[in-house]
Amino acid sequence: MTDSNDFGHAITDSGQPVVISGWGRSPYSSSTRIDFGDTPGRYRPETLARYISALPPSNRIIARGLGRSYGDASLCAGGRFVSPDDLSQTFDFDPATLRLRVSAGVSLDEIMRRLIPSGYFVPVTPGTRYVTIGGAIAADIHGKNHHKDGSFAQHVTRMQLVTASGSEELTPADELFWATAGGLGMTGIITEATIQMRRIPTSYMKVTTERTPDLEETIVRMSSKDEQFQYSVAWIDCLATGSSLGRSVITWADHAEVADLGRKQMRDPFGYSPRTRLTAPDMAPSWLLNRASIKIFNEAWYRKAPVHAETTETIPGYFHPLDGVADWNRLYGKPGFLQYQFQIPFGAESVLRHIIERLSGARASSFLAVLKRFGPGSPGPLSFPAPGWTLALDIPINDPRIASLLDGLDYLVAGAGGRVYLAKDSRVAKDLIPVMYPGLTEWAEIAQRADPEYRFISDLGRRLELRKLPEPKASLLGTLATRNRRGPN
Amino acid sequence: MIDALGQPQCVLVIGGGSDIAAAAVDRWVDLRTDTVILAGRNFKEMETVQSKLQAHSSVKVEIAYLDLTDHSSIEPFVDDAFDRFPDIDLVLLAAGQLGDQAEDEISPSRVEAMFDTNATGTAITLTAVANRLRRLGSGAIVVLSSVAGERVRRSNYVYGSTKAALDGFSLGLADSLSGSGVRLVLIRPGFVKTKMTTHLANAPLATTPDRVADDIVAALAKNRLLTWSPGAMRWVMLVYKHLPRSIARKLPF
Ligand SMILES: Cc1cc2nc3c(=O)[nH]c(=O)nc-3n(C[C@H](O)[C@H](O)[C@H](O)COP(=O)(O)OP(=O)(O)OC[C@H]3O[C@@H](n4cnc5c(N)ncnc54)[C@H](O)[C@@H]3O)c2cc1C
Repeated sequence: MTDSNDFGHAITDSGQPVVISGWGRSPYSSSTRIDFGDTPGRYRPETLARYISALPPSNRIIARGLGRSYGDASLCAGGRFVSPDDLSQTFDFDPATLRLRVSAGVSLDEIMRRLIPSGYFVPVTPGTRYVTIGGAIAADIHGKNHHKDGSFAQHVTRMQLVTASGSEELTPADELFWATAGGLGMTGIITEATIQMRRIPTSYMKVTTERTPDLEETIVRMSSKDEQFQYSVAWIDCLATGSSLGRSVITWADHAEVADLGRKQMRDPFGYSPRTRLTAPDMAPSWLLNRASIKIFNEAWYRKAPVHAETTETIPGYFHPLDGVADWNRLYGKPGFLQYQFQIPFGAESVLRHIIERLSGARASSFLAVLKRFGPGSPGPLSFPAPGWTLALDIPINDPRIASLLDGLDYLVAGAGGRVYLAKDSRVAKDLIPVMYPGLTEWAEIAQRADPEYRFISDLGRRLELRKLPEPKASLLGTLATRNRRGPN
Repeated sequence: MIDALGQPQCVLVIGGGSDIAAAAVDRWVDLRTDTVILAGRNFKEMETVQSKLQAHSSVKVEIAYLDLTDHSSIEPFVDDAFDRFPDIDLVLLAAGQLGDQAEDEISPSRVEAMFDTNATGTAITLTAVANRLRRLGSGAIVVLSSVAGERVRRSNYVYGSTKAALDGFSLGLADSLSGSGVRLVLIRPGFVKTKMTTHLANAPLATTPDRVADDIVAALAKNRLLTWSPGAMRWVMLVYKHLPRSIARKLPF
């Protein structure tokens, strides 16, 4: 297929549509990569803008990063996607201001490889370093330092956004900036951003580990100790029941000072060599990860943890343990898996407990879940983090009953004033989104002004009707009641 | 958009009066579906399904006339449905006639009618539907086949051979859809107690529309191409398929 544009060169789509999915491998859909070929100036935002405006508006477009969102946020069925490889030209770091001007397709992995050896670190990193700048902003991602430092977009000083009407520079003073942060690609294509980096004393982490016997203790410890550390996270065993419900291993950390290092580490305090030790097989049978095998893993992992310990770890070891196994998402087999991540406000700890009870009581097996305390949220209307607790757990798609289990949990979450993380979602009911994200309408209006022809809509956006401007509705509660006649269970 | 657990939002049912289809749609409406298009010949049956669905939800249900023996009308119908409902993410093919073996096997015109509906009509429908879903780049097709087509039997070979055609066609289509983002789920129910079968004696492993519907929902969630309903039917058929013809012929079912 060829689309000619007004500057005389043809931009060809690289032929066939390809099937893509998020990290959970379900759902999937097919779309066509926009291929800029060797168009002169193809990396300029204006070129991209002109390309887009030359397409009929019925062609949906979405920018894709490294596909680490779990569900359908980076999918555009029947439409086109922009590959991160085509947004990778700029990498410009200024040590004086600690600002990094970088193309949106560049990954945190690359940034770390290039800058950690000189003593600089990203302001926020998620549990994997294989995410792009575009994906980090579009999901307004959080890290283990959210309680101290907020979310990723709060460290972005400027970004370049392309829509059909052109290319625009945005700063945090613009409402479109905050609609794009957390807006999951549905306000346009981020081509470049400037990130406020930070200096680190070494490339090591000073880690304090504590094992807790149950959820109450986990909550108390985190609440009382988080403020003393820059990073904090708890790994919860969601298969433990009864008096062990919610037993966890909490790790707090700060960047290690040179004085904290061992002699060998001191020789190269900024040494950084992330390694992938294993690659998961492509054809893993879906029974490989079942309740029994996961339970054994969780048990061993809990017993191995010290009651209290202080250690020095590497950055990959502390932040990105899963990145040591390439393509580990294949271990869940062909049906794939999903990640359920929600936030509930402080004060609703009883709901958190109730949810963990239901998860451990159900047959939905899961590896360790991750529990974290959020600090204040960002101004992004669709940005996920908000003050409170967040729990994230992987669930294999091996039993259709997880549908009603999770629907029930959604009601508890929404009822407690919380929300699910859209970058992880692949199944929530659309009626709950305006309840979970009260800023949805405001966001949809800003997105509509930036993209009046509705070009930038992902499969997630269609499934949850995120870009739909609401008609005046009589009563939202009425709708909820009629939709789910069997009600929250 | 169909979600990670195979839950559709906008469903087109071919054979909208079918008991199994009604049971499956009932489940989807309970989960995520808010628009249903029922297509078929029998308005009375479809209206019954419609009012049953709407009795407990705010789902939008449209009823449309479609006669699978009117072959030239099928593609325009499918195109029109997708034009008006561009978000169709699941097509359930549940149309079919059971016929009456004793009468069918001696009547060329009845055989023609059976093939017109169950084989030719469904194959045309599947082709038209697949074309549209391919363009959308996602979605699911659920085909209700039958164990009767797996090994065609003396006792219902007219019906069985039409299902054999549908079954084989669907499996081939499923392969052709690989790489398109569209999935196909093929269900082979055993003997299902429905309004189509009230006059027949119960067969071994008889099942109900509700149980077949549960199996459909599960097959979509797990994204499994081939499902026997009940599951044990798979092993029964495995044995049965390998019985010598002289013995199989004499079995009562
Ligand atoms: C193992 C693992 C651990 C994780 N841990 C965390 C965590 O701790 N905290 C957290 O917040 N998240 C976490 N995530 C989720 C992940 O950080 C986000 O989903 C992130 O958005 C993925 O980035 P990506 O580059 O892969 O983007 P994709 O998944 O490809 O896309 C994500 C979204 O960003 C949009 N997007 C991508 N590029 C652009 C662009 N250039 N312009 C506009 N929009 C764009 C896409 O349209 C899509 O909506 C984790 C994921 C995995 C697999």
